[in-house]
Amino acid sequence: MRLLSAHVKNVKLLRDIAFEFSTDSKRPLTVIRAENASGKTSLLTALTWALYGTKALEDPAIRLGPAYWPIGRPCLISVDMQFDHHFTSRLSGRLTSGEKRFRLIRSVTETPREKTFDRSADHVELFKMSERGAESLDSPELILDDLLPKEVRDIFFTNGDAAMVFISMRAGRTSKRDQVKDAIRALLGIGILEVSEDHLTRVKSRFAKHIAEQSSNADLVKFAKALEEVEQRAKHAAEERKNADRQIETLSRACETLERKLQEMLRAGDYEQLAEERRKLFLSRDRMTKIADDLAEQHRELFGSESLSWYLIGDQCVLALRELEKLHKRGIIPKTAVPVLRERLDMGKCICGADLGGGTPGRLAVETLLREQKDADSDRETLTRLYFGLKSEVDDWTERENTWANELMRCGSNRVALLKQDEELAREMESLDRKIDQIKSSGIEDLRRDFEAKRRALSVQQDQRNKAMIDERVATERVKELSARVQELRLLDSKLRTLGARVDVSQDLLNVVKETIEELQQVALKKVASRMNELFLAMVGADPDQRGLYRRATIAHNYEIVVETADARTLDPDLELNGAAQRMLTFAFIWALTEVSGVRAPRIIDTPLGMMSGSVKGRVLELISANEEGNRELQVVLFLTRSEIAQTEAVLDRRAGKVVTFSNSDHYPVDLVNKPLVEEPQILMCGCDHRRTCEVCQRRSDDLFGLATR
Amino acid sequence: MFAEEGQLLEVLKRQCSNAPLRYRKYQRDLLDALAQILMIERVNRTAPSNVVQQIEGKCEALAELVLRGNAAETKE
Repeated sequence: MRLLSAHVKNVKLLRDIAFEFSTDSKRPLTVIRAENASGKTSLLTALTWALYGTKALEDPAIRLGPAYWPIGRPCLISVDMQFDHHFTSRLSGRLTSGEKRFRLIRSVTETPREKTFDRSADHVELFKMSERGAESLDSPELILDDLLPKEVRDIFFTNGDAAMVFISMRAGRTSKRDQVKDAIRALLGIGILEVSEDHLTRVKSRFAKHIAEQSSNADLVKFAKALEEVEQRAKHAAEERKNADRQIETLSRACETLERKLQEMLRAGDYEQLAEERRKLFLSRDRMTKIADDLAEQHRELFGSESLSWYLIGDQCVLALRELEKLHKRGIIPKTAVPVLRERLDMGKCICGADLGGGTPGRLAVETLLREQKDADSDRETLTRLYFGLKSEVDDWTERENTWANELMRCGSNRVALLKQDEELAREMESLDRKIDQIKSSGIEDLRRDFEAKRRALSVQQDQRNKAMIDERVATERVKELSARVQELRLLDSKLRTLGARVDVSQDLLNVVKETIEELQQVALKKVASRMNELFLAMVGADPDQRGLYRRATIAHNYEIVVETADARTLDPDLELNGAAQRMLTFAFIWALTEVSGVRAPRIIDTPLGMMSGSVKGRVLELISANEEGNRELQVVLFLTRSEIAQTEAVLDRRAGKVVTFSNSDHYPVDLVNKPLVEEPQILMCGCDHRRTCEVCQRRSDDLFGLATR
Repeated sequence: MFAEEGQLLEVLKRQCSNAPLRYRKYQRDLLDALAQILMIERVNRTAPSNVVQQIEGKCEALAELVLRGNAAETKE
């Protein structure tokens, strides 16, 4: 199939958009340049809906028409597209090929209600176009399904962000395999062969039954019956062998994954050992807590101690002592003068020999002095106590002047050191806890049990395969023997010649179909895997961050896509590949499949280059638009943002045959520079390519992309 | 049929060449019969019919060619 044109009406904001696709095989790219919310996904929806109908919509419960459409007013939605279909057939013993042109018109009416909407049934018209005009075709849905079956929808309509169904973690493992299997089977035509195989088997059985019914030869009846039974046995054994092969492949991979997880866990450490380490750490921290408590008590005591008082007022005490010493020197303290003066008054004579007798001036002076001394007595007593007290304490304090500060320093340092040690131990404990949690959460023992169970199941499957192989071989040999015997007996009975020939040709047809299926499945699958590997390595090779990381990408017999690293590890693509590598792998698979199958169909990809850097984008674009074999029908439709286009302009210059730009009128004035000349919000289309901008599409960020104004 | 019929027919042709030569042009006729059977299957997808009966008819026709071919070659 090769798309020629599309005319979309009222799909979301695509009110009335018509454009043509590139049909130039040298420039196979059609680029729809559009920023976010500018109609890319709507166009993908419109094209998918046109070809596959409502069942193909991501959510059929969501309206297809414009969101602002007035309530109660019917909205006619339609997509009118033209495409060519290449065909090959065998007529009169010769392969003939050609092209048929079709016009498809799908329409539906949606009427918005308050909270919901009404949607009519799809109306589909398919016309075969020729020089004679348009010939309307019956059963258009069935014909469309034949031309582009739903199994290959994800091959040809790819949403770069969300639809990597072949490797996406959103899909289950079985579902992914089925997607890959269905796509391969549909593209290679295996499905129709399998149906034919089933029908031919029934036809052959009917012929064989007729022989048994019409023969009068008891031996022939007996051998024909035995032959049929042995053929069934051989078929059953072959199916068992294939089933065992698939199981073995799946179980082997599961064992490999479990083994890797176990190794990772074992690297984290043994649970018992970790628990013991944690116990020791806990005891150490417990001891430290006690030491820290003691230090805190010492710290507290320091702040309540006499030495703190001395530390705080020591200097003042020294000054005070000096003053007291002066008083002492002057004899003011201690209070020794009073008893001496009293004694001299009693004696009536002074120490100096002067008369202190009654009424003498000397006596009056001493009596005055005694009165003065008595008044100052209480102060002197205090000063004396202070003097003698301070004298001993200050001498002591001077000797241990920095005791309190040193104690404080020592205590503080110890506490800080202890705190650091505790923090260190806490970190070690956290690390241990993480390791322990890892073991606990993933359940190392569960994993071991699972691993052993898988190993046992693998062993069982290997035994079953061996047994099935032997059964198949024995049955096949017996089929040969019985066939020869039946053939001999049939020839003896001329009546059976016709029936015999029918059995023979139906068997020949059956053999050809079986071998063709086998060849397509095995040989083509290998070719797809090989080509996918080439493309994937070529794409990741352009990425300096990923170059050399991967050894190969392949498709297993059970249709699982797997990637092997340079160090021979098998990666789960949906969990262990980054976003860019996942996209590259998806493209590589799709391109390989379509190349090997030889199917001609457009590949439509929404935002394909997200998460990729400049050089990688260019390389990927080169690879997906390469047409070395001159395939006339190679057609790639890309929905790209300006950012995706950046640094790929040179590739687009060479490979893009058609480029149009979509702009959302609602983006004015925030993003669009010029006011759109439309009343209602809608997608506007202009002919600007990846290097240009115009009044319709000019955006405020265009300077970043070096676009020229048209 | 969606799948590239040219390639499918090439594989079928190769496999037919491994079939026994029941008469001189048997392998070519076998391929023709197969192409017709696949056409029946294809039509059956869009317009269901008694496909087993139709395939049976094709086998009977080919068997007839085998008998006639054998007879002709015996005469020669």
